[in-house]
Amino acid sequence: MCKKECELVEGQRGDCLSRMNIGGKLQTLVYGKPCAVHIDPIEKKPLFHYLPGSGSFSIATAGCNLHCRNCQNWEISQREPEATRNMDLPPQEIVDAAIKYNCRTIAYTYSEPTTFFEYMADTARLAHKKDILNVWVTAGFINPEPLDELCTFIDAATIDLKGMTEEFYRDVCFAELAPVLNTLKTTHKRGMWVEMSNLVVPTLNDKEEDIAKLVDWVYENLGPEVPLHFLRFWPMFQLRNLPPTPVETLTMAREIALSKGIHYVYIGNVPGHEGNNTYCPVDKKLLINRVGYSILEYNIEDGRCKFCGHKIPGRWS
Amino acid sequence: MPSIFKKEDIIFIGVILLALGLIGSITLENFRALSRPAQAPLPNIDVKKVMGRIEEAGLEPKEAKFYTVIER
Repeated sequence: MCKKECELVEGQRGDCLSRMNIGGKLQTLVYGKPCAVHIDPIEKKPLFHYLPGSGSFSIATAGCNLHCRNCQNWEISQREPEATRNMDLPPQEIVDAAIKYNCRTIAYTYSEPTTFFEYMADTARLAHKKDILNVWVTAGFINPEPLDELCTFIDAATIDLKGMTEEFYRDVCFAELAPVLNTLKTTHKRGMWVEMSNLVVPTLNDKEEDIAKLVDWVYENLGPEVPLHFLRFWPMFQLRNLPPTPVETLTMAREIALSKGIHYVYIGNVPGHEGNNTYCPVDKKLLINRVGYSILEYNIEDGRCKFCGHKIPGRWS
Repeated sequence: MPSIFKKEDIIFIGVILLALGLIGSITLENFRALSRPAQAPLPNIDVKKVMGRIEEAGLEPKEAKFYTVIER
């Protein structure tokens, strides 16, 4: 499933902790057993250009194929499924619940949905039959073959590009950069709606040249219209020794991205910052005014700026 | 015709050649060993115990997808 391509003896589980060799066959331990189930605003994913203001039925199971030292959901992502409290929720019940609670999307999120691929795939295909869309919130560390299949049932994704060096991925995340870049290019090419996030961690990936390298890659490979979210780090898990990202650093990152031509650049985890809002890249007018995950003002009509008519990329209804 | 080498010289050269051959083969073996991927010892897993924990937690293992890697 992922580049780690774990080879397992009988009774051994993969690096993700949720897939195991049982009787000589690879088996998933988490099918139908989510440990987190919530209804979130879609802005929380973060997806700012996709059905804004709608609810997203969000699920996760235990385990992850990355081991980021800063993980904010480590209590589920870095645990074996036996160690979490799990619900019994088969795919059809998720779809029924999403309809019941008026959610336009189902989000596979919090931990790493790649590790519960089978559960996600079955749920997503049932959801499509009921006109519910599917959102993949991911680190993008997946092999090309499953990614190819995933593109047939996922409609939108938030892909976290954690840094721009193999060293960062190796030392902080226990993964690799190249497959993530491939995921970003493939999903974008296949027409999936993609927004990107980057957690800015003090001293590890917060230098101007780190940000500039990331922005240059985005511009060259995905173009200027892919929304880019710079997220504030908060001391967590194994990086409690570091301070939260200074707001000035995030502002600097946003300014670099805007100056290099990216049109939609956001700042996350800093409520009230102007980087929470969407502005028209042509007339610079305020299109969506957000505070936290709430929308206070909305100036997009038929997918266009209400003032100058410029088409704003995304899915707005 | 008398040999230009004394018996001691021949023994000395023989020993040197033997030593060089030995060092060479050890070096070659070391090089080969370093070139091979490291092999972790197989984990010693009590499968019965692991399965017991999985059952106790109410998990129901299901066959997972297994992709054949195509040429990249």
